[in-house]
Amino acid sequence: MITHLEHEIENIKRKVFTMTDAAIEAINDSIDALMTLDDKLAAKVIQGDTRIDKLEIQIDDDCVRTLVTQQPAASDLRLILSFLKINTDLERIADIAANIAKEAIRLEGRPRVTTTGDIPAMAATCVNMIKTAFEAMTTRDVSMAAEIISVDREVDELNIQLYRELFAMMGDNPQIMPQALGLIMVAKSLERIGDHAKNIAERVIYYIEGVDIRKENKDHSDNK
Amino acid sequence: MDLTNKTVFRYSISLRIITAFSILIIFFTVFILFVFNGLVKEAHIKVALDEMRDKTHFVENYLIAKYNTLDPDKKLLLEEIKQMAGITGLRVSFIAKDGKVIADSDVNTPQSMDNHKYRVEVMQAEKEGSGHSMRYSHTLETDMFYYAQNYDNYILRMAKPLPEMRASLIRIRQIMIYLGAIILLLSIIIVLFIVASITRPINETINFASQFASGDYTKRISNYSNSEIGMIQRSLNNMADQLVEKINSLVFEQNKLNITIESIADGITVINKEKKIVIVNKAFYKCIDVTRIKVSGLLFFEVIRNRTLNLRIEQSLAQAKPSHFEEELINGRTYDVSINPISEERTLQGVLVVLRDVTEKKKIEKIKTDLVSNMSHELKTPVTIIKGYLETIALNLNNTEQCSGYIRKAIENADRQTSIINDIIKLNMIETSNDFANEKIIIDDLIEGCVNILGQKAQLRDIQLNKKLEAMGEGVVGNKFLAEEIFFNLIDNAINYNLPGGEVNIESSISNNNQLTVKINDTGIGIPKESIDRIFERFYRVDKGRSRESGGTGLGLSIVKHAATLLGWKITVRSDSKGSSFRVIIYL
Ligand SMILES: Nc1ncnc2c1ncn2[C@@H]1O[C@H](COP(=O)(O)OP(=O)(O)O)[C@@H](O)[C@H]1O
Ligand SMILES: [Mg+2]
Repeated sequence: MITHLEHEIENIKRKVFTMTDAAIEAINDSIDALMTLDDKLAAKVIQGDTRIDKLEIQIDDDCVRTLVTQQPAASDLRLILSFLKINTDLERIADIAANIAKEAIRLEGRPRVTTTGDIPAMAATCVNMIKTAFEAMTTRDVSMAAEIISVDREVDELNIQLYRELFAMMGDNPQIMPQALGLIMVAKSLERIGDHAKNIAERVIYYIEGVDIRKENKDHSDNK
Repeated sequence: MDLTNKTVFRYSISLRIITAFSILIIFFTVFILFVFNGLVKEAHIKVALDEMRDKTHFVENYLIAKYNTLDPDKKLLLEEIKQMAGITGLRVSFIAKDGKVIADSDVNTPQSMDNHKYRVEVMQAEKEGSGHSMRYSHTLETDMFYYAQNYDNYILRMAKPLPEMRASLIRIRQIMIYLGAIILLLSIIIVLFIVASITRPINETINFASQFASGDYTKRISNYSNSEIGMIQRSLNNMADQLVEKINSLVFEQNKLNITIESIADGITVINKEKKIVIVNKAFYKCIDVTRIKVSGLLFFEVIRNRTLNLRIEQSLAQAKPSHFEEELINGRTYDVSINPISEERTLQGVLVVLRDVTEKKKIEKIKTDLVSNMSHELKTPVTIIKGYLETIALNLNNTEQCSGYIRKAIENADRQTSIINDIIKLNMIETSNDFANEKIIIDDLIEGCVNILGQKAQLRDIQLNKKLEAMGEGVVGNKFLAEEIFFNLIDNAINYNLPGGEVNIESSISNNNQLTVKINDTGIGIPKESIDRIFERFYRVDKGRSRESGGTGLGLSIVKHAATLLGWKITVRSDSKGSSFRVIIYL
């Protein structure tokens, strides 16, 4: 027999995962739009963002209602609290993806700038971080979630590398300034998506272990 | 079944048997005691009775001997009675027919005694001639036996205490109780033995059954007896054998199914109506790009990261309807997805999802459609332009100066058309024909020839052509036409996509593992990362304007690729913003 609470949680879970899929789709589509300078695809991403915003409100409502009416305890409580936070992260990720799509529209028609810094690879890493975080959640695997936090550093590094490279190129060839600045902005956006993915991983750890990893880290640094 | 249940079971059986036995034994003991009591009493009474009769005869004889009558004077009786009692050792009383005691050996004043008319023995004697009775005397605290004999004028009564009787009765009762207890104890022990011998095989059977139930199919019940339980055990063993056989064949079927599903290249999964993944094959893991966790038993939307696919699965589960579509999944490949509901007796059990990889098929399709549309576009453009110029010329025939300019432009486009058609013919020839004769070719000479033809173009664009060729006296086996196409196109591109003042460096070197590598490096504009894989496609150009301006058709590298394939050579590209580097690897 499935209890009412279990049913509610499954319902919320389904919506959170739908939101995850939508966010991942937004990242992939916005990067595709940027790489192929496809303004139709970019417009689709921007439109999709409103749907994600609606879903966020729904999930928030569902979580709060379940908290109040079902009064879950222990692990269920932590799961719902985590969902509340993850929900916000996913919404932010989708927002950022929409901004990347806007950048793609803005760059339309301009000659492309090539770099060794790899924006599609950065995006793929971000998507993989999000995907792995949810895999860690379903299998309650703390070490898997913890890995994501270290992967975030890779994304940060890729961002810095790309920034340096584009900056040098702008010095050599000031004409490419608009495109280069656009790419810098996109890389920065991806880095922020990585940060949100890291947040999600931290929420997952909180759900599994019942400890807030950020608080712990702060305690450590306080001790130093 | 656990241990406590087993012990309870054994106790309940022995308890029931023991209670039944105890009741039976107690009942029999009481019954025997009762019978013995009667017998002992009777025996004692008989002995006492015989003694009393003898003593009565003695009193008779005594009275006849002494007084010649059985009925002497009462005073005499009073005097004699003590002596009679002394001789017989009994209490002797003479009682008148009306019940008054005439004389009593124990009492000196018989007149003071109760009337004895209604004593049991007296009444009996009066009726039957003699009578006896036994009573407990509270004064003497012992059983008293009374015997009375009727005479003409009186009733003679004798009394005797019988303490032995009670004692022997008590002893018998004791013996019986001990005996009963011993029998009870013995029978309990025997019962326990019997119960153990019954429960042991039963427990063995239970153990076997529970082990079998929990999955240990190898155990059997050993050394069974010929009893009913033995028969049960034998048939249980038989049943187990048959079950194992059935299970084995089922497992075999299951394995066959698993192997089949695993060996299918399509991603396959079955999702039950609780939305959980119940069957999944390796290919499916690849489709959803899951490498680190096991997905069976999880909710489908927890592991499938594709919005459309999840939505369609959800719909198929809700409406029991099939669904068919194409979708790019998270692993970057495109799948032909079919979702089919699985129903049993008209109720939905779940859905079967089959994912067929159509990435290559789509790619080829796209190349085909692109090719057709590209080719028609490429061929149409110069004709349209030529027509435009000719129309203008027709309107301005008298303005020769303007016209000659237009004519030049028209000729340029006609040349372009020709080169496109030439390239298409060349490419088609390379692609379809296979009679390119094998001949000795000298790479250095070929390159030299290309450089000579292209030297003027390079000079015009202020591009320096440098050669550094390793001497190759022998030459290699190949086809001159194909090899020339390769080097010409590569050097042509290195010049076309260069910057003024740039360089093209052509180097050749033989490496130890018998391969000749020709490098054509330029310091040009480079090729964007995402285009590198596409430059060998027909009509693909990174920058159409630039290609046209340099007289390109977009077919050069396609020709290079096909020619190299025919020769068994390899072409590699590396490029960044500082230039490109093409390598031709020739296996000697
Ligand atoms: N050496 C090079 N440097 C930069 N771009 C190149 C080079 N070689 C080829 N390309 C790119 O590849 C495209 C296809 O080349 P090719 O098949 O020879 O066609 P085209 O007729 O345009 O030269 C060119 O349009 C150009 O954009
Ligand atoms: Mg060319």
